[in-house]
Amino acid sequence: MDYSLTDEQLALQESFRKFCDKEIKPNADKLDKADYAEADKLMKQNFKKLAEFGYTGMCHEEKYGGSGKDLVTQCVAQEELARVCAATFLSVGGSLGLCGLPIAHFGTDAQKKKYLPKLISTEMIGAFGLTEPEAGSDAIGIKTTARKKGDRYILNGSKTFISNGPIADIAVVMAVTGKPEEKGRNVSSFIVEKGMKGFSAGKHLDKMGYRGAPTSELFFDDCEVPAENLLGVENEGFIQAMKTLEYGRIGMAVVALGIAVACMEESITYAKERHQFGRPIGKFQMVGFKLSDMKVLTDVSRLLIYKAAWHKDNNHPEAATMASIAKLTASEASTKISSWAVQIHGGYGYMTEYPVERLYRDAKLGEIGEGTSEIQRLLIARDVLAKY
Amino acid sequence: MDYSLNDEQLTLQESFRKFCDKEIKPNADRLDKADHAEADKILRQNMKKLAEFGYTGMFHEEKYGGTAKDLITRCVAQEELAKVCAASYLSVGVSLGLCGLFIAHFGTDEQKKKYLPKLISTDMIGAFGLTEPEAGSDVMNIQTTAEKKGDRYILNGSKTYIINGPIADVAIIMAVTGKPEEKGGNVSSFIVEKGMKGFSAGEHLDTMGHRGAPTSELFFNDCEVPAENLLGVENQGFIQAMTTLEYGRIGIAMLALGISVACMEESINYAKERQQFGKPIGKFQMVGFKLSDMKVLIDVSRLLAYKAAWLKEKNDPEAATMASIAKLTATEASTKISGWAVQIHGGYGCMTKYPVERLYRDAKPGEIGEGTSDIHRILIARDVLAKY
Repeated sequence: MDYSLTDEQLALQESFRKFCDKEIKPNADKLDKADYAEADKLMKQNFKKLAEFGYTGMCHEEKYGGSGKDLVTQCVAQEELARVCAATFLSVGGSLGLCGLPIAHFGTDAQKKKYLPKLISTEMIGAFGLTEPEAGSDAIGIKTTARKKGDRYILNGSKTFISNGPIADIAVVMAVTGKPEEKGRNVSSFIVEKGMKGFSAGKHLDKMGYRGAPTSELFFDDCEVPAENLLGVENEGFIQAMKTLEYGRIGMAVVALGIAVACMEESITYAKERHQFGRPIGKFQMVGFKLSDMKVLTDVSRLLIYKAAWHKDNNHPEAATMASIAKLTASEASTKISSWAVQIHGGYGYMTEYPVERLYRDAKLGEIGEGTSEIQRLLIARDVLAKY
Repeated sequence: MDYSLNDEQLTLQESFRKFCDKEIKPNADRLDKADHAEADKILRQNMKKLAEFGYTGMFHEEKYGGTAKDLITRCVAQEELAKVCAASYLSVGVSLGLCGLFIAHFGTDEQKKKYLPKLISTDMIGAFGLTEPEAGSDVMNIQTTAEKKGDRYILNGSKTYIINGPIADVAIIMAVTGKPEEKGGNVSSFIVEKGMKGFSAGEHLDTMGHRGAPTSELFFNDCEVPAENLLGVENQGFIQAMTTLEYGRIGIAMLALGISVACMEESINYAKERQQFGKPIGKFQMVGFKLSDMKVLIDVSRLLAYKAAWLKEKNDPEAATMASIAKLTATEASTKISGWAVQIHGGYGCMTKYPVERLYRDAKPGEIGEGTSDIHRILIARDVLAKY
């Protein structure tokens, strides 16, 4: 057993932390507050900078321009970005992870060559289209169809809450290709490109938090997708999703952890500086216990995340459940911690000029996206009932 | 023992609920989202409508234009307004409650005649200035001074987080008049009017929630206040505050309760309408238990608030502590409940077009204003240690 980070991981952590503090953090507030046109511009700049650092390539193979890091190393870096800008973390994760990883895992050589280098360089921005207005937790209930017609598929339907929707150049879209009664085995994945006939994105959806991460609906009106844009094999969409869901769960767990760590750091600084009743408020037990609980929960979250990542790197059969446990724990901890952070800041925690105000709005999504806390609990319970 | 509402209270509840749904609710979202100029306009319209209904006068004697309802009857009405629009509730509460009650309890006949009818009609809007940048929970540490000079007091200092600050015609300002070493017995209250030399309000402060309730700093630069605007007796400011604090605590408890009830009602509707996995999501146990916990916490909050109101009406020595218990419980419940409400709405709960998104932002300050949860725990603990 060994809990230590390697020298490479420590060096990466230090250099990427410096990078994030210098290049991403100063714009995080503006990204949250600006109108969408300006926010999208800032986001694209962030993408470019992260590509230059090498962050975008970490989850991809070297032959496509990536650096092929293991999942634990990716988590070390991810936490640094999540700490300074949750919106940027989500967008980049949506592009390189949710969109890029299915292509990397299930794409043909031609598809990988065509899209991965551009996603990694951020010349292209990717999105992932699964969720629909009537299919959230009930993902198997999606209604978007893809009908084969000669050398193309005709897609009809719509998707919602799609991260990067407004700015995506490509999207991996899940649509029904099989029989309605074969739920779970009747969906295929397609690579849809901006500009394809019948494909359009809706306007930016206005959200509580992660406001800098552009989100929209996607519409498919007799959208014509070349047959070669099928990803993998027909009707294997949900199987594909099952093979990659740990990445999304661990990704959301890490962003929740980053938000929690930012909350804790802001709170510690404030608790030392803010004086009331003749002393720094951190000296009062009720403030101290919140800080201590923040520390405990962030340490627990990180341990679970690293364990889930290590399991996945080792293809351990427990990997999926551990990813659920990490996601559930880290996201619920993050919501609590963001609330304590606002509380410690008192009235200032409520003012938009203080980072913890944004962090409170950002934190809550963690319990919903990438499988709600309720769904994670169902999965864990199912696993427990099967195993014990 | 009798837990029932009387006929008058039931009638008031029904008619005011209809009024709030018709006159206040339709603008609540706009009030939250509009720029400050438009929001202030909508708020003033709300205040006028509430004056016409008779809501603003409930706290005050008939001879000034009020209807002098007992505290429980007021709570019954307050919940209905809090349910539809936290921002309006807060602004009106500060004007008629914090500002108006101070004048009603400690003012001379002239002062009462001069200000109360106009506050009740909402021709004048009032504010209450106690909190300062360096004096939040440590309220006795306020630094604003008032130096007697002939027939006037000269005020110097500033206040912050003042609800109605940007639009107030009159404000009760607490300033140091006594010796620095006599903390707790060295502060006086003054009625300061807009237009008095040296008195100005800052710009709107940008807040996470109840964005429609205009908030700002107040500045006093050699502000000249006529001696007749002293409220009550010199150096009695904190004593005055001690005798009225139940109103603020119960007021915030009712606001929190209203937000919670709105969250629960929205969640119940959504849980019945939203179908996933072939059934309304309310049929799933994990959603059901959140609804049930909402119901439990709401009932508990209401019971505590009514008990606190009943004790205050009787001038019972337990009143202050019960008000703390009600405020602490109702506000912490409200934050939890707003979190569950967003959770039940899934992705939609994070979208600004859904009311629960606003309610999530409105709920949190309940744990901070009118005495933080932490302060209330200290007060309750002190009381318990003294009594048991």
